[in-house]
Amino acid sequence: MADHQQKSDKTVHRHEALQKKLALKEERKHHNVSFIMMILLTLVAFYAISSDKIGDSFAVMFILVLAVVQVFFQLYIWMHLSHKGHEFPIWGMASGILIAAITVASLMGMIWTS
Amino acid sequence: MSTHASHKKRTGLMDWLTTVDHKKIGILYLLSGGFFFLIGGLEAILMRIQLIKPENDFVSAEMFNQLLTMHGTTMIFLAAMPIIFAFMNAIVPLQIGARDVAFPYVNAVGFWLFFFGGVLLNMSWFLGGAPDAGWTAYAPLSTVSAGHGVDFYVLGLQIAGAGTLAGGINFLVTIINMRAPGMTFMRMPLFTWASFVTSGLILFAFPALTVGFFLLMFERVFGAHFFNADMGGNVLIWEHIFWIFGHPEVYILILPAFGIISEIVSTFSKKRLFGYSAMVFATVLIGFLGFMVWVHHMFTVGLGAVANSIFAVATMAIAIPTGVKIFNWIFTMWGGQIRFTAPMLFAVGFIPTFVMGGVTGVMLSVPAADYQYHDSYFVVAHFHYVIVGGLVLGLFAGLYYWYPRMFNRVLNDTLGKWNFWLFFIGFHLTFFPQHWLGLMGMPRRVFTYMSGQQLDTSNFVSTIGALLMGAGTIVLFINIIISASKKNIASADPWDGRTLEWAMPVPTPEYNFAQTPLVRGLDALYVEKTAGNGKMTPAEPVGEIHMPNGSILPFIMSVGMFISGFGFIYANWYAAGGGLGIVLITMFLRSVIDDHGYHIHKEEVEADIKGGRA
Repeated sequence: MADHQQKSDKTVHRHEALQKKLALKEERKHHNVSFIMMILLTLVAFYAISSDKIGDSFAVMFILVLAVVQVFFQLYIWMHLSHKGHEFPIWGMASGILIAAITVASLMGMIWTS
Repeated sequence: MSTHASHKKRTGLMDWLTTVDHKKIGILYLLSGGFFFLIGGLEAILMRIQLIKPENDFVSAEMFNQLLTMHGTTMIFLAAMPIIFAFMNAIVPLQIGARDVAFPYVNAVGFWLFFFGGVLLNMSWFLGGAPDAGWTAYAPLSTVSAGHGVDFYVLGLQIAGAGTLAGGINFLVTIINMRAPGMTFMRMPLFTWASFVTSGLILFAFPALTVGFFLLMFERVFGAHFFNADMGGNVLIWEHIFWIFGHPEVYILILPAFGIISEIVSTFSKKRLFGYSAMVFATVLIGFLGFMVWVHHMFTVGLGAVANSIFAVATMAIAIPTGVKIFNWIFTMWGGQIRFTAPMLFAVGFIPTFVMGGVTGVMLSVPAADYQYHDSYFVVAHFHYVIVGGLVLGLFAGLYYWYPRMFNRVLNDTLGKWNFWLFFIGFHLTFFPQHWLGLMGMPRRVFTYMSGQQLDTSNFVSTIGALLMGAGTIVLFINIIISASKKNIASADPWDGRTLEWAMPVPTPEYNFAQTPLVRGLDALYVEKTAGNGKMTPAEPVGEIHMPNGSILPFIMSVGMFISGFGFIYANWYAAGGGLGIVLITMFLRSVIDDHGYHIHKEEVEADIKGGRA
């Protein structure tokens, strides 16, 4: 009985270690993918501006969208926001972004459009 | 268990200059905030004496402009904010069962930056005249104002604001990370909740002010043209930036007062707070809506009907969570065993006074009506009803309530009641007639008025009221002096308290809790009292307590900022660079010197517990 207990403990332990290893491998994959993606996105952004085929106003909007994507890569992959225990930073940043967005949008609406 | 031998006990002045203890920093905030409160009050009384009769010549028009600017600036930034920080420092770590704030060193930096910023601003009185563009410093008045007054305003508040920002971040981290076991968010006392939301508002609102001050500083010191319409700038940008900061600022001020009132009403009614979760929700909602309403200060600017309507509706919406709070305080008192001690008197006086300020606020939120009220004494009456009738009554209440915890003495209750009645009657005498003065057309910020316009009587009554408020404040100081001259120490729990700050002996041990308490419900101490324990159950065995070392660096760093502020004001780049150099050197020293703090040994803690000192 005791022997059995010990054995199952061991399997559980090995199982956990295996899971950890897999998770680490998965994370390394994420890091590699996002690293390559971020370089590609940066290249695309440079190309959008330097090329004459894309209009200026569209290019500005386009690289802003790319920038937002990059921010999410940075926050979630590199700064581990997806991990447990990051609820407060996410809440803080989300409310900050919300307030800043409302403020900037209404300011632009009131000062520069009329 | 390693011990660090580097600890040496400092005494006297050096102890206060180097302290990183949240209780001592709280006292420093209270003393300097109280000092600036006296200066701001003196400026107010000088203005009221000037306005006691028509065409008075007690002070000149220029002097009146300086007085009104410095009164507003001093009261908001140098009196109200620091006294709020005094209570946050002294009470919040105790209420959540923590040994100190999260960053004791940053806490000291925050205090000294505020202090030297305030001193720098007030130096302007002796160096060619104080700022005279109003506390809002609207461009282009502030950009063309002659002399160095507005430069002192920009640099002084910039330095003080950096300190406030540091303090706000510190309390966010403290409340999120340092709560005792069992102290969940929905068990936190309302004052801690209010401090938490206020700190969040500071974090989001003060950067806007910092940016605005940099723009104004560049305009004045380096000849930039952000607000100069002739050069393609836009004067409205300053107004927007100022009120994007300025409106959250008034909620930064009032929310802690709401928290203080909630604690006091509950304690002195011997009931738990009615609708606790609704109170928490209302606090958070007020904080959030505070960012959505800044344009209601600018209805008459001409932003158009759509912008005005949107911001009017958002402003009116704030009346809802505020109303929830008012009703909850009344329901807390309903059926309670009410004790009308001095703090409770202030709290009870707060409720109807604040409601009156809130009602005029809703009146002002209607843009069409605001065109009539704008820049009249009606507005002056409104914001003094919410700031003095709301915040200052709350701060007085908090002072009487927490004085035993902060200074180990109970203030005399009879003198406290004299203080309340003089101040309360004086307050209403001062500001109630100002509603009518405004409706009759008296503009704010004028240094005199003509006779024969039926403004004489109300202005006379208003000045008498201001003198009564001054008398009430003097009674408070007599009370403090009397209590300080007596030897008797307060009991640990003089009010039959409900929350954790009353769970320690007086004087509060420097490590606060010998053993971190286990929190088993809302009103943690009261839960234990009703369970028959009478004291908190510890969540850990007695052990070594790790403490931070004091440091003189925050003081030196702030002196560096002070010198560099002078340098920028007088365009003396050696002083400006030298001051910033001192700041960088102290930052460098802080980074390279390894300071692990020290330990209080288990034997000392056990001796303290046995001797009734912990």
